[in-house]
Amino acid sequence: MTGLGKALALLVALVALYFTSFAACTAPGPRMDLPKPPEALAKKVDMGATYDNDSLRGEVVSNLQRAYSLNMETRMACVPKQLWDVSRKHEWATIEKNMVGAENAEVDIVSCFSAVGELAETLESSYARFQDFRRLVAAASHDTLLQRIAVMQGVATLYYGRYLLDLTSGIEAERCSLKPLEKVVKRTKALMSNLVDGQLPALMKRLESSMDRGTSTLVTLEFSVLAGKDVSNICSKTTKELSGGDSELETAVLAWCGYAAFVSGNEGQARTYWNAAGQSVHDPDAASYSLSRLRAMEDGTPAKAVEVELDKEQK
Amino acid sequence: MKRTIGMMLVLLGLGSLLFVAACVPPAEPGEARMVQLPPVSQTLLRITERITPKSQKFKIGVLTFVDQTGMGALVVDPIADMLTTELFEGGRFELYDRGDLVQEAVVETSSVTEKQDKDKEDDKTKTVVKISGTARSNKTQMQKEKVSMMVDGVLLGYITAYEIFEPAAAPEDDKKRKGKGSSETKTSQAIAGKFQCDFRIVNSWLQKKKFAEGLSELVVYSGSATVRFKTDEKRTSVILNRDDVRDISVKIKEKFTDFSKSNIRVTGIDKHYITLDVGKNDYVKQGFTGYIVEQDKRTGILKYLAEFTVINVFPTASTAFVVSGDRFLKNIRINSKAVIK
Repeated sequence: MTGLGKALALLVALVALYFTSFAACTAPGPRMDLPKPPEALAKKVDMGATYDNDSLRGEVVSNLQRAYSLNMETRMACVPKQLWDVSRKHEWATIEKNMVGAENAEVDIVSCFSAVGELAETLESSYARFQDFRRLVAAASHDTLLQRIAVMQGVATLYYGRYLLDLTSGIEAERCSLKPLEKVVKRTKALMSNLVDGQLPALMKRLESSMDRGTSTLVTLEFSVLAGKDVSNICSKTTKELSGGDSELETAVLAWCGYAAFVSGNEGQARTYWNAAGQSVHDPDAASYSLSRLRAMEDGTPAKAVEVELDKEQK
Repeated sequence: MKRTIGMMLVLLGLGSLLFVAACVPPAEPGEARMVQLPPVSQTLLRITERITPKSQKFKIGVLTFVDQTGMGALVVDPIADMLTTELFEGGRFELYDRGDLVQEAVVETSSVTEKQDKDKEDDKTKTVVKISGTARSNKTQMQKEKVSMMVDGVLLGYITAYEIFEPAAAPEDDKKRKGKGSSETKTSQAIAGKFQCDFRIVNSWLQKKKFAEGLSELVVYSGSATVRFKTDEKRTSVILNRDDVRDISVKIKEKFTDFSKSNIRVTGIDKHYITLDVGKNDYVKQGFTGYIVEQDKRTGILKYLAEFTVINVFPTASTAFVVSGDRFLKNIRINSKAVIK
């Protein structure tokens, strides 16, 4: 073997060594085989039968509530702070030796992947249900409430999808392997693309004339944020006209604009929006969410808005 | 050989660098990537419970007038009926149909007449007047309670003075009558006269429900007028001067400004109380009623979401009490559109 040949062989060996070491450093510990996305989880609507708007409405409300609860709770269990700390220190191999309660951390990451799997199932189910509603709307175009139900089912599906992508992005940011999640991520992106690029905007357009301006703005804002679109213009324009969270709609707009500003890196603006939303009494969910985000931003130090809120409670 | 070893060392160095690079701790993950999403508002799914408006204009129930003179029994119903007609003709109000009230009055009047006849036989005229007045008062109260359920305001009228011009006919007739003899004229003589009445419109919402301490009847309008009349020869029916009655309705209408083109908004909400951005300067008065509405952009129709009564008026704002019940309070928001009837 010539010197050049030896050098090339060595180079190949080094490259192989690099990839091996990368895999070793970024392995997430136990890898889970995710459950396959369900083929048809959704209840099929009998197109010949009469539908009951009240029960459909209840179904979507419950769907939205579940999505929000998952978003608020699962993440906390799924991505515990100590887990990421351990990940950063590359101590997966010696996790049990170096950390008290390490078994729990390991369990956490297993449950994290498991949660992603369940989320993927829910997303499929929610998407299939949205398709049912679209078919119903096509058959009963005069029914405005049904159109609203269909739009909100679409938004709920988008919400599940956005949450799933955020969660996996978070995992990726920690340099854990995304390999077990690749299919799920790909499928989620495909479903969201279907929703964002045609199905949901078409339904929303049909509803435009029957919505008041405030509701229309809020629904558009929620859709745009979940679709990953830039909403800075909508937020700056809308919030200029607001009187500071004086209504349910305003509080929700402020909470969503706060989220949009935060994820785009504008923490100061996010703080302003969340402060205003947090002091409102008109939408308890949005206000409570905003306060929790402010607390998270302060990293344990109560934010000014939180102090104000506590003072109110004490009085 | 040395070159090969040198190259291997360089490559090994590079390899080590690559290995280290792969294991360098990642940059701090952006928390933004993991931030929780806000809750989706369910406004779009909310089914707004609406109220059924009882009227689009201020609805008035004109009660049978109360005769405080003891002489005006013949005019108490006609004045109420004619005033109802004139108020309706003015186009500013909706009116409660007095049909059932008049029916009650007929029954009442005949029983009183029987009583009067009986008492006359006993020569107890003073007692007759007293009984008649009490009966009228009770009847008015009953009518008020009944009508209040269906109107915004009750018009209460009182005959406070009653004057008869005798003889009723023109002076030429008098001369003829004098020539023919007085005994004949007494039996077939029409009478003419005038009566004075005081009346007021009282908001009916606050009296039919005890909403809150301190809220009592609100007088929306108060006035007085004189009305001329004449009877037929048998004195069984009376004709009121329509111009006099019309004047009353015009006066009332003038005090009820038309708000149909006003853009009124809710500027404050405090439990059952709301603040409106119109006040005394806009001619809003205590006791006016209205709705919180939402307009369908496509059809232009109004959806009625809550009903209120104005209880306090200030120069540029007013306070109203939501009278449509607690479950409709959630329909009201800052900047909600309001209409005053």
